[in-house]
Amino acid sequence: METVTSELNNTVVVDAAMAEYILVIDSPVGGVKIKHQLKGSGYKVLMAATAAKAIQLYKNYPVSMIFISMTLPDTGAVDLVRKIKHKQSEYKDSQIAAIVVLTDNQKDKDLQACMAAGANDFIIKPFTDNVLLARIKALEQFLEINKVYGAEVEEQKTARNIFDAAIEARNIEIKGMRIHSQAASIFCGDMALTSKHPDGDIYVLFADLTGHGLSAAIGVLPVSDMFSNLTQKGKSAEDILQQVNQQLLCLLPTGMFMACCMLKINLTEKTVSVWNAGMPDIYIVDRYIKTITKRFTSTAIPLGITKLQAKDINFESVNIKASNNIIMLSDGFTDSMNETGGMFGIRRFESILEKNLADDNLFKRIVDTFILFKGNSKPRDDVTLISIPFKEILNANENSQPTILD
Amino acid sequence: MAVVQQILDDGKKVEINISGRFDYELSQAFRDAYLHLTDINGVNFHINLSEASYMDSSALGMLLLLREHAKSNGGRVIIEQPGEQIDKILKVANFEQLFTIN
Repeated sequence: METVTSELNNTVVVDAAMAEYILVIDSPVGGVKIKHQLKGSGYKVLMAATAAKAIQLYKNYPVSMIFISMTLPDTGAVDLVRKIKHKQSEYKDSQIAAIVVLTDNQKDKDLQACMAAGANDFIIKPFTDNVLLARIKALEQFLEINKVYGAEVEEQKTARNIFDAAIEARNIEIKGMRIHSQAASIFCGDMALTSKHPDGDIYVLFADLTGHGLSAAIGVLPVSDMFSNLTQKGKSAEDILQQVNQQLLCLLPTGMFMACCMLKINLTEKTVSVWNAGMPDIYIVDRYIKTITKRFTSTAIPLGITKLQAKDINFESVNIKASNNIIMLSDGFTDSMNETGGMFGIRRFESILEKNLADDNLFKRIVDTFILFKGNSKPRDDVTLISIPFKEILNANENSQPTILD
Repeated sequence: MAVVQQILDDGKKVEINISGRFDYELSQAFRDAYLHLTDINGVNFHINLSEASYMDSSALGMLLLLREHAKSNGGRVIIEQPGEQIDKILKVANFEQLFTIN
């Protein structure tokens, strides 16, 4: 048994922004001993002998580090580590405390279980004051990294909100349109833009920028700005696409591009015109006869790769009825994998789509099935699913037409 | 997933074989397969995808980067033997308009 040195020469200056408490979870005797060893570390020490008390203290005090003794009776240390990690999932990265397990037996099999449960480090008892303080210094580096990372994440979230607000401000409302969108990280490289042309048509641009995260999202702001401006100015769809392509050629480095599809919805003539450049098949479904009635396959190279002339852009038109929906998705949706590595796939998607066409909650059914399939697997790409039912917008258009009296 | 490069025909042709998943993880290896080559005037790059199981948009990006590199040295990129899955992805991107696909 090491004797405790009573005086330490150095007191450590603790960063004022760091939480000042160390929580020690041990038997009363063990706790007092460690508390004594922590004198001069610069931290205030809280002690708990039970899991319940420990969680309560952690909730109520700004704790930097948590030392858990593995010889604590009653509660298994592994369970306690899990409980604390669970609590931490509610906190920002900058607030997370480091968890250190204290073991007095190098053969303790539970030690690995503690680390697997999320403990950051371990110390073998008995330890000298110097060992303890050195370990604390090492953990402070971990906490510093967490703090910086946490601040970075907060900054990105703020930027993301600005992006979203910019798109929202430029988009028009399309009654009945549903979107399910899940970014793989904080920024989203998938976007859906909606605008009204002076000639009455509704223009929709659904795009998927290469990759995901911030470098993918960079193209979002300039494209949404341009699309909205040019549509409102009355430019033709072909001109708009040519100019957006030109902008992306300048903006994006080689290897980065924007797969997209554009819709022109004409409510008076009851037609939709589609141009697909690199997106998965776009579906027209009929809710009444319950089948997929049309697929629009990609016929053009994604934007931002090569020169594009307006005259080379060919939209394909079909008639639409109130019983039709148009369904679009980004490849992240069908490429999504479940926990065992199986892919969702186009076949599964089409089968689910067809099965649920009679259901009033078609969109929700597809999304629920997708979420169930994915489970807890990590998202690898941005995922977007869009449905535009024509019923509501056709009705709204009819109701707003002035009646002509003979 | 692996990238294997061979120089054939007295340096006139470079063959790059991709096996496994052709995705973001291969970026460095793919670039390393051709960036260091000096004197590639007029050299054509053959990308053999017969053993590639999967391709995503970052792989499309890698092909575009190689295409730019080859073009600036007077050469072309030829994509060979894509499997059914990969052929679909190339078709959706309409890459046959930019590459020779055999």
